[in-house]
Amino acid sequence: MEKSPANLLVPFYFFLLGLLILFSLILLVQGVTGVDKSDSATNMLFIMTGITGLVSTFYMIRRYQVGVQRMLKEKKVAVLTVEECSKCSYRAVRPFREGDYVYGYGDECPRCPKGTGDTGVENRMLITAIYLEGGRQEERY
Amino acid sequence: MQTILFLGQDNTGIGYIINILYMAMFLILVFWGEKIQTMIRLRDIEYALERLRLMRDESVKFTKEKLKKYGKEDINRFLDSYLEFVTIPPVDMDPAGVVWKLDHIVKTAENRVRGEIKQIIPGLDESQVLNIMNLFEASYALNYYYKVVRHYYILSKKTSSYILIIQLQAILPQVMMEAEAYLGALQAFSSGQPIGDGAGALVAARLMRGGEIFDIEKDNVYTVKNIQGRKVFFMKAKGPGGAVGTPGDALMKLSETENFKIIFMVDAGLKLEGEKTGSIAEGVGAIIGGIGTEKYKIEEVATKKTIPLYGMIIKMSLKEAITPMTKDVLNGVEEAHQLLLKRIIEKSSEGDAVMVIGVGNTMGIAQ
Repeated sequence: MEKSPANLLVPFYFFLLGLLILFSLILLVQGVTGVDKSDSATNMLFIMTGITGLVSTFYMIRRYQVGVQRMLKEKKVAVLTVEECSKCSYRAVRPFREGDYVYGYGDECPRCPKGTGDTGVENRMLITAIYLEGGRQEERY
Repeated sequence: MQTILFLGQDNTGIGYIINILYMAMFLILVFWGEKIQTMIRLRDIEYALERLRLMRDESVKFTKEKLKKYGKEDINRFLDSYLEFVTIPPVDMDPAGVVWKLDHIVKTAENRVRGEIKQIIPGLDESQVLNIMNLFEASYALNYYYKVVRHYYILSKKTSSYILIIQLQAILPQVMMEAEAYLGALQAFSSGQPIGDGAGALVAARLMRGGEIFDIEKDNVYTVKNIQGRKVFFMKAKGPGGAVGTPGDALMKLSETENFKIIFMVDAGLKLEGEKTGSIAEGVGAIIGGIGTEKYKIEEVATKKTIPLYGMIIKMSLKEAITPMTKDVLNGVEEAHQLLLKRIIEKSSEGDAVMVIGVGNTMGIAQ
């Protein structure tokens, strides 16, 4: 069980698709050139089967492409930290940094002058929200 | 008039081959149809099982990587043993008092894990210990999913039970969704980001701002504010570590001295498919998840003293509940905050004592 060939599935899938394209093309060529000169219905059936095979193969490839694109898109998410200055109401949004938490202190306010107290938080903005930007909100259904 | 013949109907070589193929397929499907279906279904389960194993390994590797900075090799060994940790529920043949027994067992388990982490890495503050515990729990959940699915996979393979295979395959999408949610939660747990489940705690935290904070019972904080003549108690788990607190214990303690006229609870709730994330549902009852012990305590207090229990649910999916809080959930928090203030005024009178409990994991949310 531990050595499952899951990573071989994708090449195998594409190998099958390749075979399907090949057979579809052969059928299509045979249909167009006329495998049975006297029977046009058989030729038509060959052409239809070939076209159906090609269309379904390209549809499957497209579905795979869309799946990969969606996976890549899902990874492009960022957690953002919203900071607000309690004195001048200046608001800033920046990427989350480790150690940030809601109602903790963030960066210094760029508008307000530096404080003189010894607590070190006089000039710092308050973190009012931390949220995920760009995350998929709804599952497909 | 010429009759149109389809493949297999004519007398050419291809026709014969197709006829033989049809006959062969018919016989194969009659005798080995179920066997083939079983093989296909087992193949699907095996693929899902492999993905679960990869998720479990990834989670353990990620956790160990994050704990490297503490330079303690023992924590890795503890994680490995924690994955097999068992908590035995109490006997329920005589149900009287089973809640208190379960409460005791769960608290003992939690204290033990917390104690061992503190013992291995002595310099940690309470928030860091809780965040490490959350990371451990994600790995534990993924390991559990993997082991249970593997158990039924091997069992169904051994017994060739078609029904067992179908049942296992039917629940797999749900299991995979939950496992992926846990895997997605690792980053949030490791860096202490607020998660969707913290929506209730965030509503309480917003309402608590500016008040004096008091500790009460294990991992809870509360503050008292005057809102239009009402004495309003706001309570949540103590942040910013990943704690859920013991709101039931805290409510029992506070109700010894205060005569609450009404209790409001806000929590994150699982939405049904198709419902909008961040939408609010109001209702009555103790709105709190978990194993049920805290819910029991809250209901006990409310019932004994005939206090109405009102609640609000901020809806989200399981994935949104355990991964970083999304913008939609944050909008729901804002809406619930405004609605709660309105309801406090509507449902109580001047001079009343009101309790507001923000339920949920308060990771990344202080007070």
